[in-house]
Amino acid sequence: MQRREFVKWISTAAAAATLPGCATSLPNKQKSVARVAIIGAGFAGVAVAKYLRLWSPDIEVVLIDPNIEFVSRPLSNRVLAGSLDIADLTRSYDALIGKYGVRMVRDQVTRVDMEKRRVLPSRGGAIPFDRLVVAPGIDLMYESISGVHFADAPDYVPHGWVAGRQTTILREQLEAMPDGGTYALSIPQAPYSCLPAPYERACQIAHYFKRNKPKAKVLVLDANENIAFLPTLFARAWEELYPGMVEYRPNMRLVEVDVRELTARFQSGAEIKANVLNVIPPQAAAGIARDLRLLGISDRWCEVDFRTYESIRIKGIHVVGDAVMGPPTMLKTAHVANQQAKICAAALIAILHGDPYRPTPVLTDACYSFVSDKEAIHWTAVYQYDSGKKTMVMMPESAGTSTVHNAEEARHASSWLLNILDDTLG
Amino acid sequence: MKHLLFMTLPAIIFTTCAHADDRVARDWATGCIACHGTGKQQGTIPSLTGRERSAIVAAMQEFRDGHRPAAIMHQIAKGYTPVQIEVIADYFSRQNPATE
Repeated sequence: MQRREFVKWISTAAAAATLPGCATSLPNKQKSVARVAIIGAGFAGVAVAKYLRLWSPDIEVVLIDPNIEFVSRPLSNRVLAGSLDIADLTRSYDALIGKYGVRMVRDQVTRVDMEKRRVLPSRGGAIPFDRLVVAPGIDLMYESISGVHFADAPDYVPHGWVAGRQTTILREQLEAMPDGGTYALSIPQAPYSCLPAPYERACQIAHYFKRNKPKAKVLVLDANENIAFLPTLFARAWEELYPGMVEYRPNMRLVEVDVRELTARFQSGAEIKANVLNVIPPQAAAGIARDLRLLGISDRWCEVDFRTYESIRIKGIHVVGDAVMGPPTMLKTAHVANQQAKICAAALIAILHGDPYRPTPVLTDACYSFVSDKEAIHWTAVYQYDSGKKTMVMMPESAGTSTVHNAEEARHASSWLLNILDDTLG
Repeated sequence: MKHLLFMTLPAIIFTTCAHADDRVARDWATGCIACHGTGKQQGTIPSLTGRERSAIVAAMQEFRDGHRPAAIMHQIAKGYTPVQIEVIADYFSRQNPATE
């Protein structure tokens, strides 16, 4: 879709959203008992919307997000290798609207009036709610790095972290890079969304180089003191599949970038010049969570009650997805977001019906990383709610990984994506 | 007689609190759907919708005991209690694969 067309479409959508009567119309003519507004239509927000309507059609759901299509971040590193196209990861929100009766407002939320309980989008009219769900994902903290403070900095030093246009920009830079050139990947300090993803990316780009630019180099510049997740499995994959191609350097905390020279300067004083400079900035819960004063003791993430995902800070607001401060070892993955969303939806239905039922949550994480075009590795763990500790506790025997990269798990990972997309948007 | 009571007691409880039990089952089972799908088979991960309760329970037991080869389920199976596995298996057995 062309930009002009997109803007026109957005204005029409925003106008339609403010039509009188639109707010209360339910497709099945059921009387609405309550309205839930959801900010953010990623894996977490969409799953809350779908499951609220699937399990309780008498609850009205308004989902607010500026994106017109859903693009999966999981598996988007494979686009960088040329193994998948962005279209393979893109889905429409049509079923959510047509099949489940979710009202979508394509708009950016600038403010929430908690006193009057209404969301104020940037273009359309106010959206009143009984309960608010905040699923905004993460913000990239460019302010922590010098030299990248202008809006189109990511066009020169792409993050490729939010799948879509950024993935395409990074792919194009890799394609244009000469054989014998250096691709440098700056990884922020943990926690950030999906801990294994940068290391998977190093594998995918090495895979592309191995076939197309065999003299090129992948330079992994990690702010962490070691590979932040599955270190043995990733190190083995680099060594066995891409010998001499991937170089890993720990404790490389990025402080400054020269986007014209493609030079990165680190806290240690080291300077690195690259042909393609991929900067993944440090991360925190998205700005709206900060504006709503939902951030917890970490000042980066939102603390919640794990039975309901209601904020510990502000009653009546629920937080799901990457913005949540999970218990130790729990990753910020699409899979975790999906599981949190369903627990949140079940709790919201009970709360809005004055029902004392609360879920006794059990939550599974399953996270796959592709190390080549045909092999993958996984991490999994099951978490049970501990009412004494008031948190999700990892069941130690369930926590595990692959023993080594293998083809069977690559097939499972592809199957996983189709199933979770269908579970979320189908 | 005593034996019979033991057999029927869970059924009685289930019937009287059917609504509550359904929600518990739904909330536990829905986690599995993220990988196993909403009913149609897509790729290698098997759908659980409409599967026999006993087959799911037996598979989970075999995964736990290491008697069934697995890439990931031998780990996941160890995170659920036997009661959760029974309830989840029962839930999937009652779903119609033709619809969802």
